[in-house]
Amino acid sequence: MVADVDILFTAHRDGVFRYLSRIVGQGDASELTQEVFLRVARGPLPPAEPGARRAWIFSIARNLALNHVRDDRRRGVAVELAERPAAATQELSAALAEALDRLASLDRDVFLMREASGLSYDEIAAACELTLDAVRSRLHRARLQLRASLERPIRSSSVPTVRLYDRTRSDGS
Amino acid sequence: MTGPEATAPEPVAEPYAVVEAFLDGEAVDPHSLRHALAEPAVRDHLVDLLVLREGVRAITPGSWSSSRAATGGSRLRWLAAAAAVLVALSAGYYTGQRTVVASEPRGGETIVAVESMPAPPRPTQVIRLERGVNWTDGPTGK
Repeated sequence: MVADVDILFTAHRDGVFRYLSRIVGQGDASELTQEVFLRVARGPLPPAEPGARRAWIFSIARNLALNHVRDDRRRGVAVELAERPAAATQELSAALAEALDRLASLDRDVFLMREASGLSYDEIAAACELTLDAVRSRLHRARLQLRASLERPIRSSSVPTVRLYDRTRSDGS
Repeated sequence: MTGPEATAPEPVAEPYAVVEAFLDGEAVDPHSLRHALAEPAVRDHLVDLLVLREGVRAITPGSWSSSRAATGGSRLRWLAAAAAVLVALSAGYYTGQRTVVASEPRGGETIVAVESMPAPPRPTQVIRLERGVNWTDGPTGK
């Protein structure tokens, strides 16, 4: 059991942290990430399918984030850049941080689970208790809204490269 | 639930659904993908989403551990402050305990620390009272 939790922590802490950091801010996300895995350690683990477990961990993270925001009335800091982005992406990053805060919270959760944490549609559906079609629709709506809000910075930014996958951020599933 | 949370989004139009599924690493039919990518608007959509993805990368931290390292300084400051408060509270409690023990009454006696009392002021005038002049003894003895 302890070994299982240890493996889950190593595999998913970064993804959980990235998701939480955009909702509650980086400082609180660090604490909440630990809280997520404390809860994982306390409860019985679900069946050992990696996807199911990841979805379950993210459902815990989402509930904790919702409680955190509800209790403390703290939203993600509007412009909080995790690292110092290249100048080319600075305007886009700042505008994106604000645009994310304007999304409906469930749409934002779906978007961040996909883009910041790399969950599959199935995993997002399980974590957010949605159907697959609802995940696709909400993700598409979030993207359209962000694209509309950020049209100018997206088109004017000189992002040097784009890529389908970021191998440095794979979360072990 | 009200507002956008409760609103069921519109179904995604086929070419966009295919290209987004491809973007997200889901399995797609190659014929559908080729068909979708033939539309300039869908190609623009794909490229914009890739740029958006780079923006998301820029505003999300890489890892939990690096975040902890980044916030380690402030955590140390909090720990130092907490330790200082703890020491102050302990010292206050200890001092309070000693004061209580020292000032506890023993067997109903009142202990006065005479050495520590200030000297009384010196008299500025002396009034002498004489029996028969300033007072007389009555039947009650005064």
